[in-house]
Amino acid sequence: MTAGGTSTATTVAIGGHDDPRVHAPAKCFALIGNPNTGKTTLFNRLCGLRAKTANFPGSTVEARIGTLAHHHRTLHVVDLPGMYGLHLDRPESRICKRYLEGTVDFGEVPDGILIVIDATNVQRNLVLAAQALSVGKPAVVALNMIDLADRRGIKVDDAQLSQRLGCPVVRICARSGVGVHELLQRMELAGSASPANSFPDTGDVKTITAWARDVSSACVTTDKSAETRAERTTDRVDGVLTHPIWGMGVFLLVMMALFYVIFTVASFPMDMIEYLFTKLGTGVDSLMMWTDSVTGWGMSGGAIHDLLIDGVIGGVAGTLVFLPQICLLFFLISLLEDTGYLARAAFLMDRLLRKFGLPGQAFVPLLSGHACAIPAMMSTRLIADHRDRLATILVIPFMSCSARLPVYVLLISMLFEGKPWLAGLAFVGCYALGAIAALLTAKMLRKSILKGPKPAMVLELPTYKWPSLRTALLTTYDRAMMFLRKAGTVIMCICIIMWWLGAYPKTSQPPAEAVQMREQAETIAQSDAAKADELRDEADRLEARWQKRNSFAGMLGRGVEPAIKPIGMDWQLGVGVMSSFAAREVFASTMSVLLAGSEDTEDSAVVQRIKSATRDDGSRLFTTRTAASVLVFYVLAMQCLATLAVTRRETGSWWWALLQLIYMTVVAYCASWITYVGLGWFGAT
Amino acid sequence: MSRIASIPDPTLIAANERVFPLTQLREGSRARVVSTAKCCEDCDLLNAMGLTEHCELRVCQRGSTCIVQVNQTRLGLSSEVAGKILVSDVIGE
Repeated sequence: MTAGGTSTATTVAIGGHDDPRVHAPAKCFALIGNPNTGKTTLFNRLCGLRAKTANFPGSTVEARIGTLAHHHRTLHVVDLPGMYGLHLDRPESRICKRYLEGTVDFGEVPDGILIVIDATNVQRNLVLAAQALSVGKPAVVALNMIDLADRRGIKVDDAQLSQRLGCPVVRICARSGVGVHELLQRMELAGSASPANSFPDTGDVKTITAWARDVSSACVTTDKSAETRAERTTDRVDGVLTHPIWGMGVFLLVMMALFYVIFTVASFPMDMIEYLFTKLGTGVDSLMMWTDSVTGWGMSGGAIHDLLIDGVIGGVAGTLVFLPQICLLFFLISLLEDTGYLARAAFLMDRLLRKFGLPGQAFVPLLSGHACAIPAMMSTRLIADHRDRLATILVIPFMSCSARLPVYVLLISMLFEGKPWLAGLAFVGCYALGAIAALLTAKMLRKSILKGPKPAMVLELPTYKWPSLRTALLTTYDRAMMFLRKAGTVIMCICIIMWWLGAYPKTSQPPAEAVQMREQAETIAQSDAAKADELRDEADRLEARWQKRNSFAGMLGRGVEPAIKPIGMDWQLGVGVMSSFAAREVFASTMSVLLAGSEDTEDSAVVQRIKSATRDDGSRLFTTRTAASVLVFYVLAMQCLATLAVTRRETGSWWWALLQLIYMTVVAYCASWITYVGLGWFGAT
Repeated sequence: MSRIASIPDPTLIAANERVFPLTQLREGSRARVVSTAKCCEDCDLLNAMGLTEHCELRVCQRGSTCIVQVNQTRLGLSSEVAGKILVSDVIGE
């Protein structure tokens, strides 16, 4: 059977799987192919948004499952991870082999196999194709990227290839949709018969490679001059992009542009999310007050009011606020990956990172950690080796994320007031300390609990091509949905718990000083309205501090005081540390409420009050030693439960998340202690 | 260039043929792969990526990491791996 050598651009009309016209029995196809063959582009072309990502049971190997309806039949497509062979000793190869053989339960049992072959690289792709065909299921081969092959002067005789493989071969261009309609027809018609041909021993590399060479030489002809021209162009571009100096320059420019976009473009939707949820909170508050005025239920100011506004709305906002950075990062990474540049960047960085036991692919996730650890951890899926990926996930939170910035600003402004150069250096020092800790930890992990064969760099550098916007958008959508489904729910629960710890138990009696101030304000309200307002504001601040002090978080702060005393912290800083487990930036606002009675950390009067705050014994709280110690603690500590939730999600185990929390806390504590004691030796106060 | 003593598949080597590590090839050179067996755990992956015994490769870039082309596949290799790939028969530059 053959699809013939002609193809026309076809718009594929695909209905939903609940289409009432669909009545033929559903079929499931496993989509398999080498990396960089356009497999995901084809999957997206076939299934679009009707897809979800799931892990194979008991493993971190994931596949996307999509559904489409063609004519009168529902087709399920399972997009398996890209791989070079079914017999390799790699998790994805092992699990996919078992899946094709039907010995692993993954919901959809494959009735057939859809094999993607890159038309520009037939010989190598044939090895996996033969291994997949040997499983004995009905199969259809999609000969993808025919447009690129044409431009490179590569002609594939698909009729001959179909004959040699014993299954239909359809010429397609997944990017433009050419040939996809015909491919769907072939998939729908694929019977229950196994491929007509038998193959040599697919487990023996020499035999199968010789067979692939033989088939390729019979089916593929190459215009040498066109091929040489294409090779020369690629050589020239590679000569720049992988050059130790020029390549590094381009890499830095690309990364700067990437992070400029993430920091600047994402800030707008992030601000919008915060603004909308603040407005929503205000709206709910007004609604409750109105309900009270009508019914007299007394809801506003009660527990349900607080839970709804500060807990639920605050929790949803705390989850959604990560989305813009996650979406942007994945969109840009997908574009870069599609062009073929990301593989070159990994090749370039491999020299540096290999010294610390990490692969070149770890560089983008590590750098992304400066924006936010959550999308950075999700982007470690680029790393093939399990140990390498685990080591990268475990060290990412050491990279100073944007949530640490308010903490750095607060503490560095205390340490170097009126010394902008030193303050700038301190900022750089914080970022450098985090990066050094990450690299040294990675080296230590790879020499201890993640010890194992270090896969030396063997990296395919794919053909340069224009990126697919559609693929980038669908990848972004998929990752965003996965974040909301898996990590988002945990993050929201954490936000609610942290709010509850900080807001309860409610203190029935306000502090005597606040009561006195309010009485005084009432007395002078007529004669001096401005002074009365001032007194009321001060009373509000005192009550807020009082509430925080007597909350569960305050109790915890007092409980941990003996443990944090050696690093210069008292119970007030303990409350700051405890509450900032929800998110690091909460430290600044907690300290503002606790020490200055206001959440506005940008108000210079508030900052001044924090600086002059005292301990219970009347001594100054933020001495040079304490501020430096707290700063070092925040550079190195794992103060983000949302990140821990994502560690658990990405590693598939709470054990790794717990290890990360304990290790980073111990490192942060020890470094803070050294800072505190060391500065004492140098005579700092 | 010195002759390497341990060659896994002697049938691949003709008499007086010199066998040497890939790292010794110049940029732009073409050669035939004699053995990838020394690459140990990376051997299967290299083979699956198309870099097998008998295949012809071209060195696109050399250095502490190198880029080679095997058929239509371009591979980035660390010097550690490249040093363990034995080649022979410089075909042309």
